[in-house]
Amino acid sequence: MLVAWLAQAPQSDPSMRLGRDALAAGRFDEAIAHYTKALNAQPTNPGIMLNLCIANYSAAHYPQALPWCQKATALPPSALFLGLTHLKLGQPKLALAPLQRFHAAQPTNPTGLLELADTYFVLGQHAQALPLFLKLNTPEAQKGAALSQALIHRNAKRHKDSIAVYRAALQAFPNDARFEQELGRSLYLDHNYDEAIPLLARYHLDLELGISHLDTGDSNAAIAALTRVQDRPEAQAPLGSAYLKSGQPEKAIPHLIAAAKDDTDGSIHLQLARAYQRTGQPQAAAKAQARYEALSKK
Amino acid sequence: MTPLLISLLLAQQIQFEAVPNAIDFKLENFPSPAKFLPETMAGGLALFDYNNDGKIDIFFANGADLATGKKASNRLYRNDGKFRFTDVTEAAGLKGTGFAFGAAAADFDGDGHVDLFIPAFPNSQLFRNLGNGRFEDITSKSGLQSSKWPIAAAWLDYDQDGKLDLFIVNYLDWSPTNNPWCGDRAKDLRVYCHPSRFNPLANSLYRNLGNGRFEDVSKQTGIAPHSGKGMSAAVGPQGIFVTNDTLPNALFRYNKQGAFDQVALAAGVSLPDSGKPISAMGVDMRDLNNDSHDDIVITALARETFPYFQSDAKGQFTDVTDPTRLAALSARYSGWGIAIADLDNDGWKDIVTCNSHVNDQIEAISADRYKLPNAIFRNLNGRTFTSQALGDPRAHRGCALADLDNDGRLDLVVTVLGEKPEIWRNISPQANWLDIEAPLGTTVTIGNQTNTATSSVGYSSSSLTPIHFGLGSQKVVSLLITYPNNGPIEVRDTVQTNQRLKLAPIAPLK
Repeated sequence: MLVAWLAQAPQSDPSMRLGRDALAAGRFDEAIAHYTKALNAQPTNPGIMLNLCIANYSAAHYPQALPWCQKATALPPSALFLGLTHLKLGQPKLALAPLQRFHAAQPTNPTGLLELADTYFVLGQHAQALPLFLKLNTPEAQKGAALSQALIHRNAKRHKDSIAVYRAALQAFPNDARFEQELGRSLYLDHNYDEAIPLLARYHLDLELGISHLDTGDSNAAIAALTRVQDRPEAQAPLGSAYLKSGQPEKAIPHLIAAAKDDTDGSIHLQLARAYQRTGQPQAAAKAQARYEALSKK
Repeated sequence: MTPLLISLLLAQQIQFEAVPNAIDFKLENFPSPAKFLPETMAGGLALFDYNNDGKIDIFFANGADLATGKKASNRLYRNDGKFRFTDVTEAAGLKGTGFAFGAAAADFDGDGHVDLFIPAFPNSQLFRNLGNGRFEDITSKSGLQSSKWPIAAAWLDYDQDGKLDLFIVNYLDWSPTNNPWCGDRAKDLRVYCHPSRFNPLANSLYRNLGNGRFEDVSKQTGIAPHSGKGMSAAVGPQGIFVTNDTLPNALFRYNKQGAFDQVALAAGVSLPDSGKPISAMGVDMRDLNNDSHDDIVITALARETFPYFQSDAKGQFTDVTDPTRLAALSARYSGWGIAIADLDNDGWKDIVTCNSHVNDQIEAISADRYKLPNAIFRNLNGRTFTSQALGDPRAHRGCALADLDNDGRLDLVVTVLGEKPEIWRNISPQANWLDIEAPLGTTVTIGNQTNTATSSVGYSSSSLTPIHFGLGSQKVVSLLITYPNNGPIEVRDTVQTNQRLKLAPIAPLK
């Protein structure tokens, strides 16, 4: 990419050479004139813009210098490589602005399109990613487009539409693991547990698998799945619930206690009250029930 | 599962056969683009012997066009035997008014003829059975007028004065002028609004003053302070249990000081073990595990399961939906009507539910199904259940059980939105049985089985029929009878099975 761009910047332009010489000799206004002429021949060349920035600055023409300085830093390839570097460093938020600048300058550049689309996707901005993916015809971009489209539906709670996109994508890319996982998740969110459970199990999505089992009345299967992710905070409430429902209130208690701090509707405290009651702890039960009553009235 | 076990289970299946075209009634709910909430709530019925000929007749509540007021007639069908029925609505004067949801049947005036209360919007109706095939509308003079939306009702003698009082389950504060747009505007998909869009209502209790007059005693009896979104009520020795839609359920226990205490939370039946309110719909309250304490099972929507609360001797309930496998068997169903009764006469009460989702557009927005088959949950020795679907997926609503052909097996009547009802003849293998006609509230114990004479059942329905016992291989049994109103306790030995036994009503103690 960098090599390709450099090839577009011939150094043999006489105006460029004259401008460089004038700048070195401190003839700033002359340098500005040469670079302006050179820019007419290469209007997107950031090197010329940078030199116009320097020449104007050196001539103390600050208002004139500013737009050239800004344009010079905004244009490829520096913006592209700045963005890519941020991505490599796991900083997609910082990558976004330079990649946007690069894309604005070279809207058909496939690398710029793909990297910007990927960055939008990673940041969860699927509506912005989708049109960029659709401009590309590579398998990678097609997958990105399908994932973006499906996640747009999912975030709008249109799980049926999301499922349809994943199913279509799996026709094009059979057995694609990412699509199968996401299909499993969307089926789970759509409460289509009969179809979701095999996919969730295949990809070890144990939190979703456990909750699916819990919602289909199989608390023992829920316990088996949820204990595999029992260190995750979001597993505490369903695991406690599964233990309580399966008749193991003593095992439910620690998980319900762990989940209780996030109890907004009182449901965890009511479960806790029942678990205490069934393990012969009436005072703790009364306290938990009182907390349930307070939370449920909010 | 071994082939032998499979064939044993099949041999023991509860069996019904459809009785097609027995009744020409069509449940008209007048679905409209405005998605008026009552449209999806129709479908209660009553099974009772209106003409005292020993055969159980069928009453269907029917809807009305809420935009125009056009009424689809309620219907009363006389049972002529052998699953033949005659429409006697006109002669009986039971066409009714308004959008009727169900019926509560009982002889409230003690004249030996079963009367009917019909919860309806905007006005309910009370019909007195004159005993000559006609009913008289006595609503206006009864004192039962109310501005609330009633959806179900139950008769009970709460003050034990020998006169049946009326508990009315009120739903929420919907009206045609309080009918917001709910759904997905992007898809132009309008749906029936979630109950959370409306304010709850308190239930009502009317004391029977005699002479067809009633007094609203909701406040002084402690009923009025407890608002909910009531769907159905079950009445029995445990009290009055009311299912609330997306709110905690209520259990009203009479405190002998003229009032009720709402004890659902303390008794463990306000919510299932998830701790979250569910769309509780229909309910029945009977002893499922033969420990002589009435248990509670309610219908709800898919994934909420049909919670089963098992009672102990102290009136404390435990959610046993998961351990009994009822959770796994019911999680994919959405149910309305429900009845608990011994369908195969093996000595263990089974469960039948009449199923459909509440939202007729649900399939556009979720994997849940709108039309569903009915379900039978066969009770295996009080510890666990097996399930079997009954019939095709349809928009089922209310249902009730009664022995329509007097063969000792309980038959099933199910209403269907926009369609004819389903009549299911019980053809399960014969076993011994005993039916006992007794005053409401009478409790009978045979061995370790207990059952109580009740009327309200399931979703906005009534089954005023003899107390039914399945007795397996027992030919002769002993009865322990506890009459209501602090009445006597009677023991009857060497009672032959396979008969309908009539117990004389007992006068209340003064």
